[in-house]
Amino acid sequence: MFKHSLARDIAIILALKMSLIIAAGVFVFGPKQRPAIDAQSVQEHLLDDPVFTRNRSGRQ
Amino acid sequence: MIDMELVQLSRLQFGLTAMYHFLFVPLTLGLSLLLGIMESVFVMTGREIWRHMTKFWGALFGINFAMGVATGITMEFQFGTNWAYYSHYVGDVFGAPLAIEGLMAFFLEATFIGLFFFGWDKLSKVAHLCVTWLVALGSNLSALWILIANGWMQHPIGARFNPDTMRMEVTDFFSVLFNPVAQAKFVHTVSAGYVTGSVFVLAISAYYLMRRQHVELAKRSMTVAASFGLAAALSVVVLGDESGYTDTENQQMKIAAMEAMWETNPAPAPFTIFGLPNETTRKTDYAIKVPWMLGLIATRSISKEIPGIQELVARADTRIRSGLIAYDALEKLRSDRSNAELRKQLEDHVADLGFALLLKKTRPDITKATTDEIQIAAWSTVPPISPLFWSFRIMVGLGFFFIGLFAIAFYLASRRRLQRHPLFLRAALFSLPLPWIAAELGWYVAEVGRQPWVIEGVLPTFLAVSSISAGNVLFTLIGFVVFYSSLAIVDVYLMVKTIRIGPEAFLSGYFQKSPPARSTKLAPAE
Repeated sequence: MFKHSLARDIAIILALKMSLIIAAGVFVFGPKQRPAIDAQSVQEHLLDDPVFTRNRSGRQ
Repeated sequence: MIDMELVQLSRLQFGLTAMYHFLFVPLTLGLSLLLGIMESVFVMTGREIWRHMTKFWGALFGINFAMGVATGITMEFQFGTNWAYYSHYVGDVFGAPLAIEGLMAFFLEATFIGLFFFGWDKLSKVAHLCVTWLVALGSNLSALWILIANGWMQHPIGARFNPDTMRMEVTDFFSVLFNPVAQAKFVHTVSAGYVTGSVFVLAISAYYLMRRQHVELAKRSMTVAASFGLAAALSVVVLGDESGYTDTENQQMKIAAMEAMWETNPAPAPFTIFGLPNETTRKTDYAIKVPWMLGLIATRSISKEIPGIQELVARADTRIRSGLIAYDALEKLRSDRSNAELRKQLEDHVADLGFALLLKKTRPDITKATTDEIQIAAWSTVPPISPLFWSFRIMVGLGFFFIGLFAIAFYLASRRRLQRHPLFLRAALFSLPLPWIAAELGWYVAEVGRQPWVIEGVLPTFLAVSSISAGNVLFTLIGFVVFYSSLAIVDVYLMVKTIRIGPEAFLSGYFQKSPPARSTKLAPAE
């Protein structure tokens, strides 16, 4: 498939990197793994007493 | 209430990791271009010594690059772990350049750096040269994207606040991309990196010449470093001036603090060469001033005024009061989302919302803030004066010192007299840490000068930290200090070892698994 072994090596490394990024996107940085910060929690943080664990726990 | 211990620890952690990371970045930026220049000479002339030079400085570049990558990754994670509210509030704008930078570093730089080290025997001369230049291009492009992100923190344009999502959203990506602050910072930062790379090569080469080791390599390296370094040192001063000029337009408090300029002076304002800023009396004691100089440098005119700290605090007071109207509208919109009048009220004052949020440090219910509390919040927009004043002056002084150092080096190199001046060689060697000091001070001025904002005028730093415990941050901070100190020891050990072994190791097979096929000394007169 590849004329040079170097081209094959580069293709393999790029494929591995792509797989790593996609896997990280799905399993590490995916929606379920992100901190539970949404519009409402920011609203509470900015408009009410800012939330810190010292005062209140349970929210990231 | 705000947990200031958490805020200070989070800032300290980010500051430490960023400053540590930036020990490696400028050398990567500078050395990558110097490698490109050296290899280009090799390809054009066919003289082997230039290839050996590229390999030798390339080995030092590799050690530095690996450390830079390792220390850079942790910073990106900190945005999520320690600065979660920041990430939500401005992630829509800040995230894009950061992601592009990460991908560029991951694909362009990392891929071609592999080819640079392992492709010497597999690629043609020209192909390898292209790879080397692509490494340099990748490093510089990474710097561009990260500085676009940082430039937006200094001058947030091309975005607007959305009360429904409670975040800043991009309205004009090209404004973010071509942000004048980001562009000025980029060219200033990369040219500072070129100075760092040049001083590094100059100092190590001076060390070899003093010891009469690897003389041919050292002389050529010094010549390249002197000419490239002189151009870079001149650029860094000119482009630093441009960066300061953009700050005069967009970050007036930073300029006033750097100059310890308490009052607005008649145009053109004088420049304080020396003085002792007194934050209690709000005056600068024993000030020695050069008439007109600041006005000419900062505004490039003789008629434009530069506002002093007192005037800017008064403006902040007005903006806090305006911001409170936006805050009030935002609060009422929580229960009446479709109220057009409230949305109009918010829209009219949203540019000052961040100023009202400064009051959160004093009390949760900021709409009931007293005049005194508003005054305190207005004065909190002043960053620490003395550290900025002195950091800026030391940085500028070092910038001019580098011009002198490279000018002498260039003169001696062009006259082929480098070896005859041991005093200069000693000075060049002892200059080694100076570009790092200048670069770190430059970042200190840029980032501490922006305080109390994490995003200038939009989001106060103390509201951007995650809801985690100060103990957690302290624990990871100690972990970083221990781990990074170990890395620093390994880095210095590897650098010193490679420098002591010298370039001939790359001919003798020292770094290869198999025993040397031949042992050759570098040809003296190539």
